[in-house]
Amino acid sequence: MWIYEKKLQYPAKVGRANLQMAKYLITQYGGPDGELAAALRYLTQRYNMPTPQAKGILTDIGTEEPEPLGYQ
Amino acid sequence: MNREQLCMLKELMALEFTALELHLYLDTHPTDQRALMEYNSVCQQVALAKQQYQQRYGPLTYCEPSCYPWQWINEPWPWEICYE
Amino acid sequence: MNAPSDKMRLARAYVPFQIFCERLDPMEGLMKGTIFPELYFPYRENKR
Repeated sequence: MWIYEKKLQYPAKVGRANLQMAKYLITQYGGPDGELAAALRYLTQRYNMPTPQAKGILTDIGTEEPEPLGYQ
Repeated sequence: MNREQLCMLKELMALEFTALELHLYLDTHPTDQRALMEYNSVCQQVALAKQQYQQRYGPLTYCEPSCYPWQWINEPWPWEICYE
Repeated sequence: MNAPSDKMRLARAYVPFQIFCERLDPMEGLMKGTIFPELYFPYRENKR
């Protein structure tokens, strides 16, 4: 479930368009070691966690991981 | 976005970030009473700041009431705001 | 930095347990990316 909030977590300042930087960011976000993949891994791994603490932290960091999408 | 709205928005962002940080800390430190107290107090501040902001500037998310006309589509959207 | 000791075995990863002491005020925390001063490690261009 994804719920949109009309605000960012961090007050990002967009200076100018930069194609090279955009490529890095897209890779960081959607690439094989990117945040999307990480989010899915956290959210899947939490089912195998032995303690409530571990289930909680993986749920929460897996939820935070896609946050940078908002800045693109 | 005028100065006052920006100020309220940034304050809300800062409070929510603090609540999130304490939330993550509490996941692995569920018996830290002082952290829990601070978390609860920050959550109250977040609720208040959110309520005041939304009353003036419209919904920040779903299931929030709006004045006429429908305020959800009011600009600026988050990526259009100059936070300086 | 901690040197390996008798209690720390080779080829094991260790994360010291964080203990909540003080926290930054919300706006300073937001700008620094953490409200915990002990977790604030900004990148520096020249030295570390």
